[in-house]
Amino acid sequence: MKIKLSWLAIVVWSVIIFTSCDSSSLCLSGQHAIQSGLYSGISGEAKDTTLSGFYLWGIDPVTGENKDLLLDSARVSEMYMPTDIDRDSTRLIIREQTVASDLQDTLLFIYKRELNYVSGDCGFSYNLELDTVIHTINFIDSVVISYSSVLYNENLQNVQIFIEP
Amino acid sequence: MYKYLLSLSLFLIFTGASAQRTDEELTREEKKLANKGKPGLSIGFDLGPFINYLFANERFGLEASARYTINRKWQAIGELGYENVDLDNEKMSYTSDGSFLRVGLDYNIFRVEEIGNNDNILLGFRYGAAIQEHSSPRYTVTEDYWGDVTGSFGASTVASHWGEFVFGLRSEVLKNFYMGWTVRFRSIINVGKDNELEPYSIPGYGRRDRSTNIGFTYSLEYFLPFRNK
Repeated sequence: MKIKLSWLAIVVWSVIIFTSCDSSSLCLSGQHAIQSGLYSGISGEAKDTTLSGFYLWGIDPVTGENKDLLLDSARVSEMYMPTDIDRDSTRLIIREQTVASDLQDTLLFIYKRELNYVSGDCGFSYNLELDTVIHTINFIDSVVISYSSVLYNENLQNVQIFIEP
Repeated sequence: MYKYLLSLSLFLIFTGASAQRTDEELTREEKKLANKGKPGLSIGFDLGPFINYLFANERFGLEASARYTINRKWQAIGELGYENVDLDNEKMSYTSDGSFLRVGLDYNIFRVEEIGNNDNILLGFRYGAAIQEHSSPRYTVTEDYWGDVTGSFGASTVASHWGEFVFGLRSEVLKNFYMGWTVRFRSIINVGKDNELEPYSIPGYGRRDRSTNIGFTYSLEYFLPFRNK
């Protein structure tokens, strides 16, 4: 009978080995970025739009100086806008440079931050709750918060930026 | 995965050594006698935390158990243990000291066909509770463009509860000396929270980043039979 017990042990442990292999924890990066889409406001209907010669950069909150470019003369219809997780607001500048025009707008995102434990391997992240977006209106028509939560491991568009026709 | 392979090989070594006996046909009366069982108390020590430490050396634990054999079918179990965690990586440092208690019942589904065979195939359940003091002296939230944010959490005490289903084998390798293993399918009922810091590992449960967990024990037990009046 003990021989049968040994076989039972082999079967059980084999099942455990093949069903419980640890998948190494994958830590995600760029999880504090607001996902934004560009839209045309023509006819009052939201319609995806693409801009060429597009630039994006942040403004240092202490010095007020321009930070490095996040997008450099890119062709974009949507973008990730990283947020300053040490503060409750982030100031970013977008610029469209074409042969015909060169316009830029400032976006100020105001949000609430909440520290979120992910795991021992990945540490913490911040969950953000977008409260307000203040912007200039040189080539932006309006900005709509479509989904206010910026959460770890969630990939949803937060903001719709409507471009003037 | 290596820890499971090691566990398997250890088990096969010990069970293989005593796997030479053959079945014998028993009369109905003899079978009844063989399955009568004898009440008693087993005191045990779990080797599982030591095996685990070889592969996850940020966690170190100790565990002991008391098993009251009511009859051939039913056994009541209490398991008591301690776990220390000392984690330090790029994202955070974390320390924890805690104790746990698990209580439950095992049901022996094995019907022996040899007189003197006290082996068990066990199905059971446990209720587990743990209390631990933990802290995170350093954590870093990475933000490549605007700059990382660092912080810390001081010591706080949290309590957790869980349930587990148990499957295991237990074999009498020498007279009154048992060796056995169990596999535990654990599910969290509640995790205490004092602030944003959650336990990296819950004593007696294992890693917290999974709401269900598979664990194992590898026990050595000494059986103290109760005397018949």
